[in-house]
Amino acid sequence: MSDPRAKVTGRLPLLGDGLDGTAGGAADPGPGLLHARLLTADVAHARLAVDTTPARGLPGVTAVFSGRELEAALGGRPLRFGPVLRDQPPLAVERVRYAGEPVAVALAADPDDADEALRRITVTYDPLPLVTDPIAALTGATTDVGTSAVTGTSAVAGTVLHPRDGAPSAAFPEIRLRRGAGTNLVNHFVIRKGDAPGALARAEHVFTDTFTTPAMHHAALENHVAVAVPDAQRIVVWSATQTPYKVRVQLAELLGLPLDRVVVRTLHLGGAFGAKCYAKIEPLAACLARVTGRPVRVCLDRAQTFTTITRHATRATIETGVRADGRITARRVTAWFDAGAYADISPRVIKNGAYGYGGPYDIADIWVDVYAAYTNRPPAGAFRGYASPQAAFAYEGQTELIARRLGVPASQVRRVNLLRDGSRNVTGETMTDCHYDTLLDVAEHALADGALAGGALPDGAPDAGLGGDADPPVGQCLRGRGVALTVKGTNTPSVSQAAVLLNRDGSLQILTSTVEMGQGAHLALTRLAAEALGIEERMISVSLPDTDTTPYDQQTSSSRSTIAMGGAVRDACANLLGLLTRLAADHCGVPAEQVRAGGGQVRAGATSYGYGELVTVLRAGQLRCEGAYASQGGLDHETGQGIASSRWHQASGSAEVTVDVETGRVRVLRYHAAVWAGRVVNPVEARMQVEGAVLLGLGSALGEELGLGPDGGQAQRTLLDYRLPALTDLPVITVDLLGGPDDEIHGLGETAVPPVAPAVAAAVADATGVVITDLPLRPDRVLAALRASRGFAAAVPTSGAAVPTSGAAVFRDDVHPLQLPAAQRAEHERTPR
Amino acid sequence: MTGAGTVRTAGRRVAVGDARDRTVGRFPYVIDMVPSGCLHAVLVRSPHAHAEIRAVDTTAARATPGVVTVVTGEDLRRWADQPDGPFPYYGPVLPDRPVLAIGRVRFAGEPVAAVIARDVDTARAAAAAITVDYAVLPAVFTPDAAMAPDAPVLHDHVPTRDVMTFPDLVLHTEDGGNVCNHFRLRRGDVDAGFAASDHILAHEFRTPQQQHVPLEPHVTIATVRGAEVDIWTSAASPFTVRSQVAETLRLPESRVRVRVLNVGGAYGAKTYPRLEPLVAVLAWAVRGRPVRVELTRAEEFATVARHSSVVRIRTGFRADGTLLARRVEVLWGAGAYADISPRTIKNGGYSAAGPYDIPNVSIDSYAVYTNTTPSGGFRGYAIPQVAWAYENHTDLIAEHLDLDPADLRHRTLLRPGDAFATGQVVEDFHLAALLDTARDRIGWKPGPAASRRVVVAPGLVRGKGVATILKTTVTPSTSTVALKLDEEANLTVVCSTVEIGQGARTVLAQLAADATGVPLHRVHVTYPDSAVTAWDQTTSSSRSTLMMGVAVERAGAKLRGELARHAGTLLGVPAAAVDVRADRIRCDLGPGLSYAELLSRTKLGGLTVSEVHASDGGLDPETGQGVVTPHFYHAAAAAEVEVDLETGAVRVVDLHVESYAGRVIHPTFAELQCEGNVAFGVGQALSEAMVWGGETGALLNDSLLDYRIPSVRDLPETFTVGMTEDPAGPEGARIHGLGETGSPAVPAAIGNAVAEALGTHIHELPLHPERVWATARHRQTGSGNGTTG
Amino acid sequence: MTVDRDPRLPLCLVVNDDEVEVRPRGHHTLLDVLRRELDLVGARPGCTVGACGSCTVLLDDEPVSSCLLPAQLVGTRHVRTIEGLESLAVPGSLHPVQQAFIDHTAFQCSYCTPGFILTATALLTREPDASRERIQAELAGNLCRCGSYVKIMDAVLDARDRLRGHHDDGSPYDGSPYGGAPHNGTADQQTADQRVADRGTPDRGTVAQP
Repeated sequence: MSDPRAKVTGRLPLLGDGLDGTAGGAADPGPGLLHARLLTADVAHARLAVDTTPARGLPGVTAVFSGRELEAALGGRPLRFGPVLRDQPPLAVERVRYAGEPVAVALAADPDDADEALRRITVTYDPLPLVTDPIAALTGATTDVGTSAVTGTSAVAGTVLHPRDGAPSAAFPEIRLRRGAGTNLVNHFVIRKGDAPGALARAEHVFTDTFTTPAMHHAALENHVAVAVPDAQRIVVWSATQTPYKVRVQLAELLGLPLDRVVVRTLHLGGAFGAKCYAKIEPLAACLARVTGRPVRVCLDRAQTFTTITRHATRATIETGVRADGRITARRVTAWFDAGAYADISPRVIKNGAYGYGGPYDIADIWVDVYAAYTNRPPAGAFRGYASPQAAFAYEGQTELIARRLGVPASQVRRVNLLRDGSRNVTGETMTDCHYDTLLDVAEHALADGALAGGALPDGAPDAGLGGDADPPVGQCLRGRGVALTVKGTNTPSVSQAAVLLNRDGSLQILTSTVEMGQGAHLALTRLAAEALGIEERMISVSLPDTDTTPYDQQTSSSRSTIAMGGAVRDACANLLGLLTRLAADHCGVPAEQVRAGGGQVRAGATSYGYGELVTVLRAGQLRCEGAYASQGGLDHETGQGIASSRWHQASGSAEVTVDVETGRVRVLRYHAAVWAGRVVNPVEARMQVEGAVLLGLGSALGEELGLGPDGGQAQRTLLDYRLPALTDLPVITVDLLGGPDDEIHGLGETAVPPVAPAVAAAVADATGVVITDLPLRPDRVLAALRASRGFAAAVPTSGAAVPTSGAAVFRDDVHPLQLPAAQRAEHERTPR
Repeated sequence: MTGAGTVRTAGRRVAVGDARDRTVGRFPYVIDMVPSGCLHAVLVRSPHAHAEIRAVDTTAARATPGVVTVVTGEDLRRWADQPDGPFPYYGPVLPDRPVLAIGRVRFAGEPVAAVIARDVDTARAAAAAITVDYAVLPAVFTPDAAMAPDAPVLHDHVPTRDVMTFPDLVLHTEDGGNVCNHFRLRRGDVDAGFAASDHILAHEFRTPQQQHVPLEPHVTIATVRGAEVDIWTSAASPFTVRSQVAETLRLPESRVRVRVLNVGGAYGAKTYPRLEPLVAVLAWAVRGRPVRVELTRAEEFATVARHSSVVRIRTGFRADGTLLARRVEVLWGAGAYADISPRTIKNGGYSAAGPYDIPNVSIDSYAVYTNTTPSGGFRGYAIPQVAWAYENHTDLIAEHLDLDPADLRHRTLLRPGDAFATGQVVEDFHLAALLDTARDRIGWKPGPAASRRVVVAPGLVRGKGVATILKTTVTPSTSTVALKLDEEANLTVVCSTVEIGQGARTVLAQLAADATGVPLHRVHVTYPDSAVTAWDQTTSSSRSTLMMGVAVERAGAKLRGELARHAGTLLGVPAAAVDVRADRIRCDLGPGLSYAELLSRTKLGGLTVSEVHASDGGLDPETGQGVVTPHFYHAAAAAEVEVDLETGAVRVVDLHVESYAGRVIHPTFAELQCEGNVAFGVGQALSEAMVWGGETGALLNDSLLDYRIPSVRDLPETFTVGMTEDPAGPEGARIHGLGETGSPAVPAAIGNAVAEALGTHIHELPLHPERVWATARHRQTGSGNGTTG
Repeated sequence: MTVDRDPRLPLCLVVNDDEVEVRPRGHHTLLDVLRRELDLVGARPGCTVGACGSCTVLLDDEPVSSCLLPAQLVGTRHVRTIEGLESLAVPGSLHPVQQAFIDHTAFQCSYCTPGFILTATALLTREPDASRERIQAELAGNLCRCGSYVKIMDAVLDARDRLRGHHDDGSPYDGSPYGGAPHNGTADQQTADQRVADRGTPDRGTVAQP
């Protein structure tokens, strides 16, 4: 565990610290470090010709490579990596698939020399048709640069990003895909529970709505960085990664080496949020180290990080059959995830997305089809929430719409459909440990004044409450409140190992490969061990991951560490107590039954030892015990039925917002997050995780969006264009961690993310009567929605059917007619009414 | 233990995995590390052997641009009172040494102040600007002088620890004198033995202080981050460093991380914390920034040395050579601080009895403070000094009885079943056979002293000599190891044995491969990292192949057991029915699987087991009787020399050293160790000696120009090393350490050969030309050495 | 000497065939420059008085102790360190002297190895037929405290024979030391019995030839 003092003195060892890769003595890349600087593509889709010759032989420049030259230097094999499909080259070869993709690299001891070399490299692009919309990608349509209008429907030459299919990766050997080679389909995940079409046909009401969420940037403030160090036998890669063991597998298969020739080590991470799952720049660093035989450091700048990995843009059309009382009888979901140019982890993300669309609701007949498609955008991957936020925005948005259409309160729609212990969820699993009623109670209670009144309203926020379903307002600001209820799974099946080492002075070392990225995992593990053994936390240290020496762990993600690694550590501690008991029994010649180990003491009959004392008298030097955690589960490939998650992370959110009717600006005044935490290990860190999740959600709800630039590339590549929530955006946030000391530990890293956007959207709907179905709720979009509604009879032509509700305000299920994509229109036409 | 590999790799010259890195300059040493943001410290050292520090003026140094801070003993004294301040004293056994001299310096070269600056040049310049006001005190340099009644006392009080970290240690320490420890051994009735003797011979022998001269000097980099310390150091016992630094900075051991890469030579110089406590304190003083200290060669001489010795040995024997009684008094020059002396002199004490069958033995061994560089362990660990004495003494007995020296040894050497001086019965002991091998190899003609003396030319005389020694290894001792089988069934040996050139990482990989059945090329051995690698007592005392080796073999068996258990569960058969070897898992049912297949099918994500191997023993504090070692290491040497009577130059014409190996794991590394023993022995015999003196009592030869270590040209013209393996074959043969065993025999054999050539024994090392020439002259003018009584 | 009176002076050197610009202080030796500024740590400090040879580099193909040579005096002479020795070899392979050191395991702690290799390389370049005595004399300026001398001599003699293609006795070079050229872990194949059988024979390197 790192000492907090290191964090306030700037001494927390981050790999990016210093230019020499030693991070101030925490790492030892050894002498002769080379800096790799990248040249990235400025077009999104083109055939590529790179001429590096002008850059060669510059003073101080050790080497320059194009993608093809790098492959040649390593024996000519195509170099491809990817956690599921090995479709991504460290440097683009012959074809660039997204703007920002690395096309050449220069190596020098002095980064400035490398940059000079990059300036001399000439790249010529022969443009290929752009594919920027997942649906179009699958229908073979292409997009004209500069507009989002779909032209043509027949497959155009060059619109298939990966004519040759990527080989499967050993990183996820079990995963089964559903995809057509030679198309842009990355994977298609299917859930078939009951008979959705039949049930829909029989349904009293069927509502069909489409929701979209944009691509997002993780914005971990520490950019991607890796240092690869070769020696005669092996290659050691220091990397800021959340998944050291997976990266090890990926590098071994990329370089064609046995696993034992690759070592991956990490220090502390300056944020990750999913961006640092699986190999990103490590493959390039490793390849370059291999070729030059010298340590190589790759450290991206912000613009490069912006185009390295994103959150999936999604479009989901949900068709739900309901009874008049709001009981959902059937649901059919079709969703498209924009995977970007390379598969990365999309094939698994859409699985979580697929079961996510069931929500916390008991739906007897539900079919889900989620498609991940290649497009000419930066690769999308894991992102805090792992597809649940996108799904939640859609299903909770529709919950609001259904309520309005049926003229029943949204809370009723939720109540009659909630999953409860014994009911079967979307993957057919019989639920236990359900707390949705409680969470909904908390959320709705939080809406009542008083509950949130504790928090003062930010300055300038009008206090005169304007009720939700009110007539067209008189003031400038409408105020509304909204609720959302969500569920998220965790990585299953899941394996973690740990070991504890007990020293002669009674101090303890926890060996773990859990990555500390600010979530406080190391503190949580320390506390669990301290509890289990009854020793002080200051006596405990936690290792940094090193695939050579620290025990196996699947990865640090999916809110799994406190559950899985925590389980492994507690198992190791239990084993240690057992070992101490046995050893003391032998040493004192008393039966084991008469020995008690715990609370820092081992009592054997009359005599009693401190842990360290016993290690010393036994002359054991150090006692080591292993521990393990393994969860079971998995879904059937054909039906998507089975155990999707070993824990269900349940949350609710309540938002109070004001909407400026002049500007369309949405402002969140108060937000209450409630999560089922079960047993809380570290209240402080737990709360911070939830608060952080809320802020991330607010960013996604109100402003964060990676758009398409006129050149077909990503529009936002700086933190000026892409605004993250700052202190000034901070509402009053209150947190409920539900559960008690005897409950199961639940993950908290992501749980509170999914409710935020739908809760805010519900609040906006409450304020304006308009349910907006696209994120983010930018002012222009909100304004358009308001204008489009009857209450604001501005001369904005509208399209899409208006559905009357009991509320005075009219709302629409689609609020930006100008931008209604054809595909979505088509969707409407197709859906039965 | 039976090999679990298809072909046993032990005993084969397997390729050295990191060989290439070694030849292209890419073999990592800590000295190659200079972390970003690293500060450099330079030490101000005392020119005086013994003095009070009146004042230290650091004003100019502090004013130097680029200097971060200056630390003196006064700061340490002040910090000691702060709750989180460092503990100012350290030492492996007795915390008697200040991190920086406090109030008083006790040897020339003792650090008095440290300057921490942004670069070495700045630190040097600033250090040069520090002035120290000393009040000089009388100094002593040899143990006998230091034991004189009127000798200046170095330590008014000798502190001890509440926690005794050395279970084998016998401590008799008193204040008021310079003796920091006294070991005694009492066996049988010595006076009766002497009374029954036909003859009694008594002699005194001396050896000087010598330096290890590892070519990589001590270098340490420390960073203090809050309540954690991160240390990179060139050390042979990372966990000893960890305990010391934990004590110094008052932290739990778990919060101290010690990492070691390859060590550029140690030979005992890097077995105990010497530089690390100081650098840790400096790092503490600049909180958060790495501090690096790299010693110069001259400073290396002021860091640690081998004990000087005075051995007074008296033996009573019958006319037939039967040894009846031996009384030995050994005085050890411990230097200014105890360091590991209290322990060294125990081994040097009981070993003074020699490898002989003597019923009555009385030994008193004293570690004596002197105003010199502190003495520590040194390849051979006190045996070279006493062997020099008892083997010259044995030849003098032979001469007295007009017997063939080899023949006398045959009559008196310990044989399996005999009891050593500590009462421990020796077994697996082949010294007589080793002696024959060595003797025959150099063409030894039987006959009494001088019978092999040949005048090859006017003034050029040749003679031959033999020597036999035994050595113990630190006991009790403990090694722990973890074997980590990854998802693909590659094996990592997670241990903390330090690669100091002995080839440990190769040898342990061989043992692990044999023990687990994982192919050698898929076995890796970690570098020590106290945060993650398994605890080990020390890499010294020729114990690693033995202790860590056994731990690895045990863990290997355990790992195969685990594989069998999981396979049993998977295949639904009892684990006992599963055969695990050579990377295959078989049972009666089914075709069987590879280790990797089992791991992937059980989705274990790998498998780790750990093992502890501890040896038992210990001595009675009053009589020194008890168990001193798992096995007695032993070796014999035979030498032929040519002495130039005009110049006193000694040329070793031929030499053979035969060591008992029991079982050789990697023949090439084993040979290298044995050949290294010869190089060490030759240096000790012919040239190496630290010389103290001058006006301030400083070391007069603290450079490699003045302190000559053997070059390729200084080796015997012809020499061979032999390793005798267990006659019963490798199966079940016990591993014997080879890293030191041969070296003590070499100076003794050369000494006896020179004695034959000269016709008289020289009682003091080294046999440099001046001394040999003087003895030869003295010889020509009559009277001999030694006294008969 | 104080630092402010000893400023850094820019200096151009040719190291391992590259022109490099460095900024040593007046008192900095070539060793200081190699280790501090150029990250070439194969040259190592051992004694700083030119006695141990750990810091040996080649200056216009002649071995020098870089710890004694002020950087300012290197001038235009070409510096070659152990890191630059491979470039003298067949691409993809090591210099024969390096390979011989590997084949004979002519090292223990290996700290001295680069110095020995460079000194031997220079000698064998100058005197391809150097005798054992010549080699011994030349290598006497390099110290190995571990005492690997026997195997070092074997390695250098073997390298000499490789470079000139035959042994002293005129018999063709057979890829010693363990019969099987190019040697690559063939030692690995040797069984314990063979080892015991051939203990003491010259090519096993335990006997130093007069």
